[in-house]
Amino acid sequence: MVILGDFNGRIGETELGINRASKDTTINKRGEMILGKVSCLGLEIGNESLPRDTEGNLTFIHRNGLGLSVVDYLLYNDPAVVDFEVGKIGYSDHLPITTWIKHSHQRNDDTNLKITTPKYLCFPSPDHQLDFIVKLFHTVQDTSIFQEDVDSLDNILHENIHAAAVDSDIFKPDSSRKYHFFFLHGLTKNVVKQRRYITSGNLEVRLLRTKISTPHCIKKKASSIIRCVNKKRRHTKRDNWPRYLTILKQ
Amino acid sequence: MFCFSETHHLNSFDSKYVKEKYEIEDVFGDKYKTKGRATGGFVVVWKHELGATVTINVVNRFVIQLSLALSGLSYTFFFVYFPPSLFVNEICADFFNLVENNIQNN
Repeated sequence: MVILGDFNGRIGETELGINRASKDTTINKRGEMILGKVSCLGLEIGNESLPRDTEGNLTFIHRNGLGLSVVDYLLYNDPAVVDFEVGKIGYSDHLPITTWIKHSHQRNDDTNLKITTPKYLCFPSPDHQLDFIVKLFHTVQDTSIFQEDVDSLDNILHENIHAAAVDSDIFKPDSSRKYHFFFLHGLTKNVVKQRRYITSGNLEVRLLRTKISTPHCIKKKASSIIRCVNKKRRHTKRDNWPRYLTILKQ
Repeated sequence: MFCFSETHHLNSFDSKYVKEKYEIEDVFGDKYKTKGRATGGFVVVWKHELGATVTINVVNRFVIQLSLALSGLSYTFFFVYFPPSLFVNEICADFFNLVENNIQNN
């Protein structure tokens, strides 16, 4: 945080009992208040402390030449602030104040963002892809979202989805883990109970997870699997079922 | 970027030369009497290259907050002008409360 401006308060030469260089030795009530707040908030005063203004130059020179004071300040708590200067030529009775900020492109290595091309995005030519990556990179670099923001937003989204799922009875925490997959994809409990011997080895579940993507397909595919297994069951022993399921998977 | 305070202006700062290179944000002064000049007023100017990254928030007629998001880093600037009038001491104290909230939130 960087604060610049005319406070019209004079803080003198002393800050919390420590002498500081300043060409204005007077202190007034507002100056005392500023000093108190600055120490409370952990801010630093740029005047008289940064390299280009070690002497505490005057920032206000009255037209009559008698009123001389330091009333324009730089207050900061950002380590990026590296310098401060009071200008020599002013077009009013105040002199311009300037600060320099060292901008580093990345805060630390943890926040580096890796840009990769989306998997399912098609480009007419490699040049378009390169343009896209460059634009995307600059856009991400210019945003102010950090990893912690993304994590907190992700937590909020997760909680909302969980709450909505519980309200709509899609997600039932009490039911056993074996049925979760089927509930989530629209299969009824009865169907699962009737065919529970099929799911005992969890091979079908894995098969469904890998092969099928939509709920409609799941219903269709699951019923066809169950039909096939039932058909084979009549002619085979229970020990041979996994073999048929492997054939189905292929 | 740079900021002028106590500009006393009531109309937008129209300069083709400046607008070629810079974005300008005007905060007009307040005129309480029919005669004389307006009090307060700010002009904040920054380069076009910073355009999309700058957000201005006029806190009150004495304080402007400027947020700058650049290359994944965010900076907050406050440009202030507190007149010598005694009643402004309270506004000055309120401003520091705002700064305190800002520090706590970040």
